[in-house]
Amino acid sequence: MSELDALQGTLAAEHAAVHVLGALGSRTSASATPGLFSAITDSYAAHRARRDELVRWVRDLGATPVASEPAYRLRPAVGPEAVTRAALELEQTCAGHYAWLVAGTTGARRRWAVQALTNAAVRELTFRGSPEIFPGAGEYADR
Amino acid sequence: MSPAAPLPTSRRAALGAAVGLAVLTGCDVTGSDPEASPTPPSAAVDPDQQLADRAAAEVAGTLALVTAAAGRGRQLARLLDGLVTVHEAHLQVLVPPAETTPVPELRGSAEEALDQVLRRERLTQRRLADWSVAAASGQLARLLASMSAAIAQQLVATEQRTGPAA
Repeated sequence: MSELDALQGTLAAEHAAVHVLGALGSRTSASATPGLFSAITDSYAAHRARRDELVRWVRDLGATPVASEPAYRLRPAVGPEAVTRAALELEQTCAGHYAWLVAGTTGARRRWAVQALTNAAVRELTFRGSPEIFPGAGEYADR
Repeated sequence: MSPAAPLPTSRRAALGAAVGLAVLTGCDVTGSDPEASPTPPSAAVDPDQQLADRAAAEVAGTLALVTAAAGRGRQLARLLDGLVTVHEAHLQVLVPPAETTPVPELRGSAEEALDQVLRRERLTQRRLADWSVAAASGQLARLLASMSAAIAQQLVATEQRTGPAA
């Protein structure tokens, strides 16, 4: 996989993440569940920033950034518990993408990917995830 | 509670991990091919192998410190259990250092011991991230980055249980 392919794959994942988090935010009450609302908001901002950075890098490589899909399938997530579970799954999925981005990049882009993986892994805890042995690379835990 | 003994090395685990690590670093595992030439003693060491060795030594040293601190009492042992588990699992993938890891001396109170552990963990987390960036092999880079992220998770989880460390 080329570095461009790795960046495009991660960008596609970030498009989905931004969409899903926007939907989850609309299902979260700032007054009833301020902690969850704040966590979703922070996660949304972080993924938007990652998405924008990935778009820039793809353009820097002379390619056209992969576009967002017109719609994304979101499992019904009604209520704080379901929203929290959906957000956790999203961060776990993104952590997996970032781990592969680490493998597919070098230099400054790899360092960025390493940091993104760490941030996603830590954000999992915000959504009641448990610490993992190999965040983003779970197959090592199955050895 | 008595101080933790030096970490034993399991040859079987080390060989198994070495095979896996050889795949990660892109090296060929010779020995089973009768036509394979023996490696001359002056052959350059694979830089990724050196990185992996450094990572293994770092994790082993941090594990020794955490284990020693956990031996201070049940409360610390409970707090540090996750870190012990993570480091032990990481050493199963990396080849543990051949030499037994000396057990560091922990002075001071349990609180000071915890602070010493957390400082060492933050250092290990940063080093693993740096070595991930430096690795030539994408697979090794991915593994080291995941290990670094695991420690970051444990640090947050530990600090949530104790309050932010100094």
